[in-house]
Amino acid sequence: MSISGPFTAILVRDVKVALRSGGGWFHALLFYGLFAGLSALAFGPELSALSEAAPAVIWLAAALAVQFAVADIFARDVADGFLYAISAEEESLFGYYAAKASFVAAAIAAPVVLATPLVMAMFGAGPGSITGAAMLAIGLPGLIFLSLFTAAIAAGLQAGGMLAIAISAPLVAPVLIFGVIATEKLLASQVFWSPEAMFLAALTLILGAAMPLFTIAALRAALE
Amino acid sequence: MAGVFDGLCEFLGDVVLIVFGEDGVGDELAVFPKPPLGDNALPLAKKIRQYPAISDIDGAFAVCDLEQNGGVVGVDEAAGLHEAPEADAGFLGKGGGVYFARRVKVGNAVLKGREHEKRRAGKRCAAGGDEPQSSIALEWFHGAIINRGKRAAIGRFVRREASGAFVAPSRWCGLRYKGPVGNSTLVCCKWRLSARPGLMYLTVHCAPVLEIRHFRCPERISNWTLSIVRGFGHVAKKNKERRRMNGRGASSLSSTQPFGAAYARRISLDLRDLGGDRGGLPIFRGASFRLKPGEAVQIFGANGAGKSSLLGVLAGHFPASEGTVYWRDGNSDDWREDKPPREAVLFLGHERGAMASLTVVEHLDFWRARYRRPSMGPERVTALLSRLRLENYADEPAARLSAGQKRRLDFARLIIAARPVWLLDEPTAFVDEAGSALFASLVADHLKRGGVAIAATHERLAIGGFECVIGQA
Repeated sequence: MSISGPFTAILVRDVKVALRSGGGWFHALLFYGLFAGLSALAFGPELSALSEAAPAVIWLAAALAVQFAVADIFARDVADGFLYAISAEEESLFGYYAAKASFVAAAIAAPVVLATPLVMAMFGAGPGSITGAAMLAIGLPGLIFLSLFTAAIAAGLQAGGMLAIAISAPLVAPVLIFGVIATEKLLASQVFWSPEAMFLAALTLILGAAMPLFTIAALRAALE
Repeated sequence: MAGVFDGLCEFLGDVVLIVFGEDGVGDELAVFPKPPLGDNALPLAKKIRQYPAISDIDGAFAVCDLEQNGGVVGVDEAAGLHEAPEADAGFLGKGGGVYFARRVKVGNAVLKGREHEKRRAGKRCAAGGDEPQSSIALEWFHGAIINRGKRAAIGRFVRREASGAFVAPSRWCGLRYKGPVGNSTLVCCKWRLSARPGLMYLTVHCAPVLEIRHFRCPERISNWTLSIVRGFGHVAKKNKERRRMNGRGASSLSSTQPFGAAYARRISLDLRDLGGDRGGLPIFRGASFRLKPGEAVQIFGANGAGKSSLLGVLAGHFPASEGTVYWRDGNSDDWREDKPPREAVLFLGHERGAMASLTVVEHLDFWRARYRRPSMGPERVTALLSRLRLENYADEPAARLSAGQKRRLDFARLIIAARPVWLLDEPTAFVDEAGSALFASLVADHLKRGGVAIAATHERLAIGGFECVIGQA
């Protein structure tokens, strides 16, 4: 990929906008922190209960944070006409999609992953905090691909965000299930590559292979 | 369109040629039949300009009835013809051909044909100079046809001067000609006048996109058929070089086109009975037109008639429900019916098109990177912004711009992208009068550079071109 061109230009622009005041790069992080913090309060002060709940909480918080942060990512570009222009002017929407995915990974998901050790320490997860974040980093790309897909479905709809999240729930479920089990095993036995972790990685790869095509098709449909 | 020229041909005789030139080079140029109309040259000139089809180009000249009479070539610089028709120079003589002196100034005496002949025979050009082709002789233009897109003129070149007066044959686009006289080479050209300080000379650019075939000519030559001779790549290349040279000079080209001269790619498109549906309902039907490089079409229609849908089909946002769009890249006969050629299209939708929190200059940077254009120096940015009348808003976020200013900012995309196909959806919505004028000048530049433009609009834009109304037939 050359220095200039749609991919780089869109990525740089989106990061620039996100870092501006009101740009909202930290929204997902904030949501993640709040969700985890409130969950900790809800579970009560029992450290053993907290550390048991930690994997479920971080996975749920991360999944919802990404979903909410990504939900209107394409709708904005439909509203201001950018998507119409880029779809008319570029051979394929892949560069655009790749830029958006990279943007989500860098500006939305990465802060969440980086904050995870802190959250896990807060839950008393002990030595598994860092590797737990690594586990999240394996599963989170799959969640990003899914959220982008549902965001694309919602792009052409008025207030389609909720519908998108409803549609994505069954798709998100396997990632959550395997992510949580893999993290639990990691915390319990310090084995990183449990079968569930491998399955999680496989899920991410499968989603990464299939979702871009579906997403681009959904974007095209949104333009009609 | 063709009808207009047919009418002209009938009125004037066999030949109508159109002369193109950049603004301000003084290419108002007309050739008028001498007897019996020679005395009426001036009214005739006005008459020619009154034709809506050619009023927006820089000059026209017509040759009448060569076989019998010959004619007078009228050349005027800027105001020449209007003010002093008797001062025009040039000659079209029986058996002599059409001559253009290299140095034709306003105020020159009328050059009689023989004088001119003599002068040419003696020294090629009294004015001398760096260009070898001091005069270009077109011998016996018999039939000429104006393409309906007023792009080109075709004449029959019957007799080539033995001495090789055609010093620039490579600039001619040859056409094979099958006529009653037998096969001969046709010259086919687009005339351009270029200006150098103090003098005017004629350069002849071939029209590499000719596709006039089976064109109906006026009565006397109606059975003639024209077909294109292929293999003019070198001609096109030379022309490209020439255009680049022109662009480099201090001509009007460089001042109005900050991003260079003619487009490297010449795209044509052909719509045949195109129809589009939205949500299962037929929206528009039977849209047919053909655009060649340098041509524009304005699409009118009531709200909901399908203007934007037509653009959407062209842009590939959704498929056509009937009919086909054919695209062609270059001059080949290779019409493709899939998508528009890669990286050829620029789409200006009717939405806001600006990102609220990016500043004006950041938008320019973004588009430059996105369209893979070279970076602009600060003075270029300033020039661009002042052309858009946004110079005082360079570092303002787009959110602070008015709707019309956002539109102007979007116009920068037209300039930066330098793409040959413009799809424009209500381009002048929100824009004030000066903005509309700016837009018209952008389109004019675009067409001069060999681009095509399709604009869906409810108000007539001052960009000329064809008009197409969709909706109720």
